[in-house]
Amino acid sequence: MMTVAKGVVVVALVLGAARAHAQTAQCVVTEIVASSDKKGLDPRLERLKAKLVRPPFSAWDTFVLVGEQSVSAERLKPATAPLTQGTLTLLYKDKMAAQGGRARLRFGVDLDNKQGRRSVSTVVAFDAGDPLLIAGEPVKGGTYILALGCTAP
Amino acid sequence: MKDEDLLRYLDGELSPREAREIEAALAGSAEARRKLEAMRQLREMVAARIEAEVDDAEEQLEASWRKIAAALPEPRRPGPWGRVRDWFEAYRGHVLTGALAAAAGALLALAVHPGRIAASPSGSPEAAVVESLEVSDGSGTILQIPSGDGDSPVTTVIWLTPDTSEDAPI
Amino acid sequence: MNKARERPSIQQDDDDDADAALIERCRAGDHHAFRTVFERYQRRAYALAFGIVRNRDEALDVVQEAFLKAFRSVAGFAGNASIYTWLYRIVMNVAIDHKRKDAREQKVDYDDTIAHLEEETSSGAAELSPQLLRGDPAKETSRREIREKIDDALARLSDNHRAVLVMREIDGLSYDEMAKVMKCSKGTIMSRLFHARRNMQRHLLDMLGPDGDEVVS
Repeated sequence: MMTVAKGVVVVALVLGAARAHAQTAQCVVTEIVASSDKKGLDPRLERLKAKLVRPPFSAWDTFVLVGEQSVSAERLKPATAPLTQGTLTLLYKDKMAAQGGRARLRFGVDLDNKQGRRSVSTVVAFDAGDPLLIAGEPVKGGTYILALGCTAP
Repeated sequence: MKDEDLLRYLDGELSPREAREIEAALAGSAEARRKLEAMRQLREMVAARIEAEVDDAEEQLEASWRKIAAALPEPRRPGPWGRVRDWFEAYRGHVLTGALAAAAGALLALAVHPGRIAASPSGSPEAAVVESLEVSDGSGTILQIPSGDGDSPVTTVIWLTPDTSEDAPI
Repeated sequence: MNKARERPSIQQDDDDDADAALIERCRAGDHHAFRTVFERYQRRAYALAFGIVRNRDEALDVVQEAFLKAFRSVAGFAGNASIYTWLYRIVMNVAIDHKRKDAREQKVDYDDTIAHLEEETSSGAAELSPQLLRGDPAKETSRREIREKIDDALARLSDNHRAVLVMREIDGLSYDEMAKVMKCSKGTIMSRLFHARRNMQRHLLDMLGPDGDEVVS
């Protein structure tokens, strides 16, 4: 009985731990300004190079990192982060069954402009670690690109 | 009535009031009417002769384009927005647009069930799926572009096009 | 036979809008857009070029050179004139340059004022003639002899006189539009047109005969 009870306790603990981990996602929010100033790729953006050299971003030749931060998002609780162009609100909704070895995460992503007005609201499902890009807003000096990559261990 | 006024009348360069005055004068002068008719005859002759020449030269004129085209400078590489526009056409897999009329103040949300989104071009790993998109003061386009990145072969981009953008690709 | 084109203002607005869009694309280096410009204006450009140089091969050269110049200078086209007045100005300048370079052409192109004075002094009259031409020469332009006589009469005009005659009688350009093309005052255009028509009429009456006279069999 004890063994069984222990086993049950162990299983419960394991399940509890997995559930606790899945409750929080870690996101990296990267802000970029693209332009045609012939200055190339900011070295700090090397991990995104494969995406930025492809269309439509290949239309520009200069990519400057203007902000980067880590954001923890607890499941079903809005997490806000200040951006150079306003505010980001992330809502970690769900972690779905892993595909091809990677988890699939479901997020609500809201962007508010500097005046506090909601400019974009989207719900996206993406693979953990695979950045989603939101781009196109003209800003001083070029075009704004927001890269959002999240993991949920 | 002066000959210059007659010609201005012939060429439609008179105001309605002036034209009526000339017409009244023409009604009372056979010589003025003959002069006008002579000018119309001249017009028809010159027009007919030149038009005939243009018709005769038409084939050679068409051939002129080849020479012009050969001498034109190489097309300039379009600017950033031009290139973006071109790629939109190639890679616009599924478009969700949430266009907002600022005056109306309403958000238009188009919700799409994940199952209806086209599979990513590369097959697997699966591209990001945009389930819903609301954009104020503009529109949004979802692009799924081969990224050449082994870890994530397809990049999903939500492209925002502000209403005020004169260079909007869409 | 086409009569002088009279463009209704609404059509002109539509044409201008379409042209403006084309020019924007040409500025971006769009060859297809420029092809459309060429197709739209090639006949009129050729008519003006031929009217000035009076030689088919030369007129074709003028058209080619003018369109190439237009493409190269489209960035500088401010859009404050309609596209065809801008284009005509280029055609006009290229045609005049061709004539000046033509070593075979010894005749000096008189200043208009001098030409007008000479004509008025020699003829003693500065009025239009009320005499109509014999028959209906316009319908007979397909006949070679009629064509040649019209060509001879045109040849006896100055380049500027021929230019205003073509622009007015073929394309129906207004005096204002012609003034923009030729970069002169409206009054100068009116004067040139008057003298061009009067001189043309006089030459044709000499060659074809007035109504009632048997000159050409």
